[in-house]
Amino acid sequence: MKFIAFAYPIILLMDIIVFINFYNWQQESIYEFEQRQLDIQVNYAVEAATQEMLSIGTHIDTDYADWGRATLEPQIALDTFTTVLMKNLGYSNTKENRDALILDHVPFFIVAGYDGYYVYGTVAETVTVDGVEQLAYPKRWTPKLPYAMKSVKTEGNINTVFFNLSNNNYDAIWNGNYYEKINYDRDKDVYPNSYFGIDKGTNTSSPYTPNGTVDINSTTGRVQSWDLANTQDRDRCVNDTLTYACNAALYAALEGNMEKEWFLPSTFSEWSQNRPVTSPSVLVYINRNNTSSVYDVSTFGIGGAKIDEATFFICYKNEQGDKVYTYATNRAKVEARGLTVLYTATSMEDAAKNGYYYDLTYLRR
Amino acid sequence: MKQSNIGIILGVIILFISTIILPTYFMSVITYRDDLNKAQVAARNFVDSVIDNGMISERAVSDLNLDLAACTSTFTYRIVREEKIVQPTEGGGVETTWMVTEIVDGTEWASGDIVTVIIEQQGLNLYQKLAMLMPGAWFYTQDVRMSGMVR
Repeated sequence: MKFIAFAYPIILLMDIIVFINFYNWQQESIYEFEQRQLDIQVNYAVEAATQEMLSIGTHIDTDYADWGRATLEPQIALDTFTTVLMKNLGYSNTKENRDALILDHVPFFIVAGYDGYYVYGTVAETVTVDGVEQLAYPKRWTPKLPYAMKSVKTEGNINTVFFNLSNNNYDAIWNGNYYEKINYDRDKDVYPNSYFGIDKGTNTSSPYTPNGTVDINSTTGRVQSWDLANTQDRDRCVNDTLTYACNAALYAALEGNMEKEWFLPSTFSEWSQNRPVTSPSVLVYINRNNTSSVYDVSTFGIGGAKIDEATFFICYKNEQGDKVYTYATNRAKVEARGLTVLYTATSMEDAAKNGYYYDLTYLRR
Repeated sequence: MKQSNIGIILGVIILFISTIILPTYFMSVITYRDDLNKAQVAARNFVDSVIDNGMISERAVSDLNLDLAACTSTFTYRIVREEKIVQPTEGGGVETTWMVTEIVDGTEWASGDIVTVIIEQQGLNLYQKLAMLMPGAWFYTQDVRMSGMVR
């Protein structure tokens, strides 16, 4: 009888312990599910952002011999990213929701361009409220920041090296002169040494020093010795700069309460090099603390895109005389209506900027 | 030895909780977790198929149906297609919007269109209903929603 009297509370206690442990396991399962879900959703959104950034943002000044030199519009990437992410999260795609999402859950959004990068992050601004100056922390775009910079104090210039993402070329502004597409392997026998400069790392009169190194600061401000003829150094500079940009923006947005740092590796092993960023890319960090999980769910997304082929659009006037456009694949259908194609556009943006509206006749194709 | 009626009743209750209620709750959570993972994988595979191929193939739909049929719970899904439209605005600017359109068999989706798949559970299975009887225990329910842009 005494044994039974002890057994009941012990069994009850064991049941409670098992239940609590299982409940904790359930919370971890929910967290894993939410985390994986957010990873996938952010990947889709980043992919859409990079795709639209290149498909809409290319301008007529694109260097068709070097697709990597396409001009970027980072705001297009941000707008597309928020649109697709809102659809993933099931929120209405209104301006208020987008602004709230960016302000509360996106500490930074970085667009890595061909020869520089943009950061959409938290900045400190002085605003006047009711006649009182106060500090505010909105989110703003930075101007395009180069991947490497060097300050030559003796000559009073800030020399800038624009490492790029595509080929072994780089541009530079050096002592007030602009040097474009410098390539050691290609140009060493073409241009005289006087154009490129001489000496190994001691002559700062030009950005090109064959077989030499120049002390250049990546925009992190840390002095690094980069061999301008070494593409691996260029890769490390780009990765180092973007790593610093990510962590600095995260630090500013989270007011120093960082639990993790992000690192873009340049090497995986002693024998292999790695370039995480090889084309115009988007880097973003999402932090959600209002999910069903008791833990905060966060993810880091990175995605890049290259221009592959263009989609064309035909512009014409419909039977009512309205200026409309549709996909070039509908040309036969348009001409079958007796209409004449007036203009071929390389993008929807191009057609819309010329005053053409989307022809809803072909909305369901 | 005198037997306590209260003790017997208490013992029966504890036995019932330990051997029926708790295991039922555990099983329902495990099976639902497994179902959610399957639904998530199915949704991802479907969205990847659409954004890669630019169309909803019979194979993609078949795979989605089979993956969801393998779940213990009953799931239904909805597919939403939004076609990208760019219109001019005043001042020479442009505005990009996405318009929900009908999904027609064999329609090719253009680059920039957005596909959204929403997988929802219909009702609760037996284990989940039993688990809901437990005071203080709640059952996690979540729709699986994914959206991707056609490449």
